[in-house]
Amino acid sequence: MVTEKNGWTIWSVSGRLDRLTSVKAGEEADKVFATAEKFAVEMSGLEYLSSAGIRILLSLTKKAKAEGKDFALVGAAGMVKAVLVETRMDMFAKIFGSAEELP
Amino acid sequence: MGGKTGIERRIFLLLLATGLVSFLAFETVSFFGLYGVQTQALESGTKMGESAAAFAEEIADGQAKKRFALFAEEKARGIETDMWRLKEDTQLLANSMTRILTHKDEYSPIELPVAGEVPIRSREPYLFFVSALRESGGIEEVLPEARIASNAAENLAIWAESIDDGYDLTYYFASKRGYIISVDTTSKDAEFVEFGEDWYAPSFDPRERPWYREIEATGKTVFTDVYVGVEGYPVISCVAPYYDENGFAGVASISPSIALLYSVIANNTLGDHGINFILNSKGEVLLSSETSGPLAPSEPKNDLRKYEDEDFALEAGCMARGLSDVSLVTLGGKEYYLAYAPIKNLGWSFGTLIERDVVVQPARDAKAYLLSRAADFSASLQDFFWDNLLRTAALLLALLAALFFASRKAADRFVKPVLALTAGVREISGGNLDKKIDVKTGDEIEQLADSFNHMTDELQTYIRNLARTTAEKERIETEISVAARIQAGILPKHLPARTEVDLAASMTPAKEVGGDFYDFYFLDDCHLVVTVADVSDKGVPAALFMVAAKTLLKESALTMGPGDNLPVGAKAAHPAPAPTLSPPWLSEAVARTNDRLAEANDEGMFVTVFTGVLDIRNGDFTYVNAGHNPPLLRRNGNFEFLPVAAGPMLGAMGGMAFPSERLTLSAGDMLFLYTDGVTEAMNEAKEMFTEERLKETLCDCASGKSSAEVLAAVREAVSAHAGGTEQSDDITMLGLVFQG
Repeated sequence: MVTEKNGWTIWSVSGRLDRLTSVKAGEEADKVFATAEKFAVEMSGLEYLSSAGIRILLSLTKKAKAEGKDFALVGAAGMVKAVLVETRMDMFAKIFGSAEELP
Repeated sequence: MGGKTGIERRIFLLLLATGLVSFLAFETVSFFGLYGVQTQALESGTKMGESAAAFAEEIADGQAKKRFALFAEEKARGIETDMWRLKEDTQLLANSMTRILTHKDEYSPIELPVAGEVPIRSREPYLFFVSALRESGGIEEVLPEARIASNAAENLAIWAESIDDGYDLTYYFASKRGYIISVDTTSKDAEFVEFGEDWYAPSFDPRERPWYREIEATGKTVFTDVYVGVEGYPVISCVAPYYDENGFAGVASISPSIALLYSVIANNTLGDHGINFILNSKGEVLLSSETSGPLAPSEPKNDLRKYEDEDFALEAGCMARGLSDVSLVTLGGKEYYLAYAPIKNLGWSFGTLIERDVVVQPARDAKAYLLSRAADFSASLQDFFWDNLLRTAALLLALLAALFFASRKAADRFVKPVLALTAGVREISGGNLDKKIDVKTGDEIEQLADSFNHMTDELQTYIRNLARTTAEKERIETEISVAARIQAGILPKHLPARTEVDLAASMTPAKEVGGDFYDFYFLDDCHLVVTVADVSDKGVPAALFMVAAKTLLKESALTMGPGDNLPVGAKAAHPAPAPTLSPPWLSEAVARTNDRLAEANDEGMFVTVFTGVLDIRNGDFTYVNAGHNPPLLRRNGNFEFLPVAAGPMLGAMGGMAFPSERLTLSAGDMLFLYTDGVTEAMNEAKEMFTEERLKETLCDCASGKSSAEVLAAVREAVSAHAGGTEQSDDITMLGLVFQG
């Protein structure tokens, strides 16, 4: 699901982001990313994030950096937030508690 | 047709049926057409015959009536003429006698032969005396007058000669005084007139006859009724009075044989079927061509006006009244034409009766003829009809045979390519893909054959591709399994036997070649490096990345390891004093590995690593966590997650810093390193094993257990949790017990 807010294109991902779902999710994210100026992944509906999911997020991060686009991860909670913390995603991308906090 | 194929039989039957149906339809139409014509012809022929016959009958009827009326008229007039002549003659005869008797002095007496005394010749005048005269003896008294009167006999003789027409004829003068002068002519060749007892019997006396008195009284010439003469013929006489100076003196009579009249009546121009008769004014038959039956003269006489057949009786009344007509009457159950005309002067009527059947017979014959001709026509038409039917049947048989063979041939011809196609397809389906179906019919069947040929080509190409692909896949699978073996082979198996540590490690790969690895090695005599890592993703790329990560990590650790660049062997030779590890080297080694991995990592791959180095002399444990799960630490028999400062994973981005942390292990403390393959192992309900379960499982282990035993217990618990669910991720564990 894609929404717009303050120039941010917010791609909401929910359920599980693991090896099985990440390929399709990655393609979808790439598509949305291509049209976005500022891209945010909204993860409040996400229950599980595996290393494959992390790889998607990392890939998006790298692309944003290369193309000079703003990139943010928002709404992560619970296990997902733990994984983000564990993998120090904060070192690669801006992380906000919710979409409301986007600048 | 037993050996024919179904389709051939069907085509054959279809062609046959079509041909037959068309032919039968045509035949049925022509059959009914012919039949109709035949019936019509028969009907109209019969009708025509009947109407022609009826018309002919009508014409015959009308003509017959006319003819009969004319016939009756002529006959009546003929009789009338005859009778008028007879009357004239009789009157002339009477007048001649009157002349003699009134001029007696002018004549001399003549002696004639007297009947009864001498034989009398035919045509010879003779004298006769009635019996009354003979008996009274008055002959002498009348003789002189009789001899004078005999002069009239000359006339009689002359008359007899002149009138003689071959029939019996009697002329006589009958005097009132009882003498009779007479001449007889006989039709027979007899020389003498025969006088038997019957003829001129002594009793014969004309004066006693009723007509005699009538003539005497009225002076008229009369015709007597018909009576049967002495010769057996019916006779009629014409009688006229003669006179002397005293008045009525006698009668002159001519009695021609009725045979004359009879011949007139019998002379039937209408053939043998007619009945001619003469009726008097009393309705009695005077003369008839019949000798028996109701129309024959009879004694006593019958009044036909009272005849039992009423219409005939009615017509008889008309005849008696002197009318003329033609009508149909019924007589004795038969139909007759009755034509009649009056015979004037006599008060008679001539009638002729003709059987109607006879009259209309020609018409009926015509009708029969026409009908028979119509029947003939019908019969010939019927013959033609049946002949035609026979011919049609023969033609049908011939056509059937021709159709049979033609259909068979056509079906054969049509089916041949189909059979060839079937055989070809059967051969192809039997496995001969080199088979090419050769059908050149230029129609859909050829297209079908071409399609089949094309299909076999495609099939062959596909099979070749499939074989190639399969071989390729097999090769890849082989290579992958080789890669998996190589990967497994990269992992260290045995640690040099040291009493200070009890180390066990295992990596249970998922189905595919994966990205987990563990590592342990001594940097020198006293520094043991342990690593557990998890490469994002799986498969060959992950395996390659894993190899690179493991190699780089180890190489970095070896090159940047503690102390100087002393080789391990050299270090071992000098165990003491313990070199002081500069705390940042592990961080730097990890950072360098990260930089190396991040270079040319377009795939965005990364690896989470927990690596630490244990100084086996004092239990000093320095570690870096690069985005990996925190390990568990057993201290005092109780496992707790090691509080670790999280660092970024390796390979994601270069230029990162990886701070290290320190921990001092006591004897019996155990470190349990693992990848998320353990905690995220799922059961059928997609429930994860979880870190809590891991911790519980570890805690349940007796504190004295070896690393291998602990690992076994965890593995057992994980597989008990997973049940039959296929392992989706590598399960990697490393247990390290510091023995002190």
